[in-house]
Amino acid sequence: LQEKELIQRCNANDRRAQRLLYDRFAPLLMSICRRYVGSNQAEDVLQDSFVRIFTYLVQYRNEGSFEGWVRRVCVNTCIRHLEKAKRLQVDYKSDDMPEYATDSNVVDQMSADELLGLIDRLPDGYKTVFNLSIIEGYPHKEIAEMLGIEESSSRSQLTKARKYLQRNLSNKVES
Amino acid sequence: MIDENPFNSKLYNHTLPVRNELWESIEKRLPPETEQKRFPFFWFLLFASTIISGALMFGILHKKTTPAINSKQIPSYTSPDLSNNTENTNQTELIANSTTEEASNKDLQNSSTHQQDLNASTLNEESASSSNALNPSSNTKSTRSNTSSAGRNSSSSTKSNLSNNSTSSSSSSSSFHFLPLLLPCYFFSFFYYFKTEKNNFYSSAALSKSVASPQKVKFQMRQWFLIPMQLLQIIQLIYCRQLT
Repeated sequence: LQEKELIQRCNANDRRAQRLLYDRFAPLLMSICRRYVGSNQAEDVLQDSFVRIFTYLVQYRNEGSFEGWVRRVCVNTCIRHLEKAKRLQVDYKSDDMPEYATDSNVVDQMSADELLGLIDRLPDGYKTVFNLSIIEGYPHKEIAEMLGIEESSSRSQLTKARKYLQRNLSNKVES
Repeated sequence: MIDENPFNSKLYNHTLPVRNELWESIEKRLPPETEQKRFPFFWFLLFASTIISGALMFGILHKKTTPAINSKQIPSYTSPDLSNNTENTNQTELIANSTTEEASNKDLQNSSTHQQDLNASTLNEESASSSNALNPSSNTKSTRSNTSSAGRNSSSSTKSNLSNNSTSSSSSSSSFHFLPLLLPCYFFSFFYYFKTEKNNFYSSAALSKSVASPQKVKFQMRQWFLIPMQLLQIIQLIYCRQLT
């Protein structure tokens, strides 16, 4: 099925088309949910994401890539879930963590699952900003709007997240 | 410093396996699928209304061309006052018989006069043809006499037609009583279609822009084919009403 026809049929509440869309995007969205909320609640958030996708699919105006739109809905659902669970707390403490020198080759040699495990160990506030900025590629202005924080806070959270990751990586290399 | 690229390149399009049971739980939370119920109901409504209106129209046209013999079959008439009275049933029967006899006598008289007219016209025609053969200059007179006889015949025939119509309408009036019921039926089916398929209908322009698939073409054809069908049915109904 062509993407436009698939969307058309999903809007007409065609269950087969909805299943096709689910099969196409579920593995990708599962990975996103896993990155943002962790493995325990990833399935619940994925369910919410798909319900929201099918509900608000009528609002999609064929502007930009459909995959981008789906990702955005999923990320927003993850953020909403974190806010509801009060897990999304910005750390306003002073940045007194020292920088650790790490070899970039270490990260290159790591697999995706290992990187996921590394990100999982970050606090939720750091993790969200890191995911949004480094992996999704959102600018700080947009991240600040999405999370309802200051742009400077977004930047500081990202810096702290990097230092946190450097520390974890150095510990891993030492061990 | 950690390089940003490895995270992006390895995790942006990263996928994870999903359990099959997850779809079932998502499906439960979605609104129920009603698409399959809509069209059979609509098609049934369309089919039924077409059949009924077609049958009615056929009935009207068929009854209008029935021969004049039916006009002689005058229905028995009993006054409501007399029919209500149980004691005077014999009297009413007698009265009814007498009225039917009178009516049949009148009809016989009419038919006899009609027959006389017919005979006269045939005689005129015969005489005209003979005179035409003998004298071509008398064509104008014969045509005049023909037209006058034809005029009389036509007037008598129109009377008989009127009596035909009155009897046929009285006999078929019961079948026309539910004609007004069809009108809301048509409009209901028409608006039901637009209401249920509004999104698909108005986005047909977007559909036509995208690459066409067989299913889509079928759907579009079905869409555009239904509208003239519905309009045709409404016109048919108006025509039926005008005939009645």
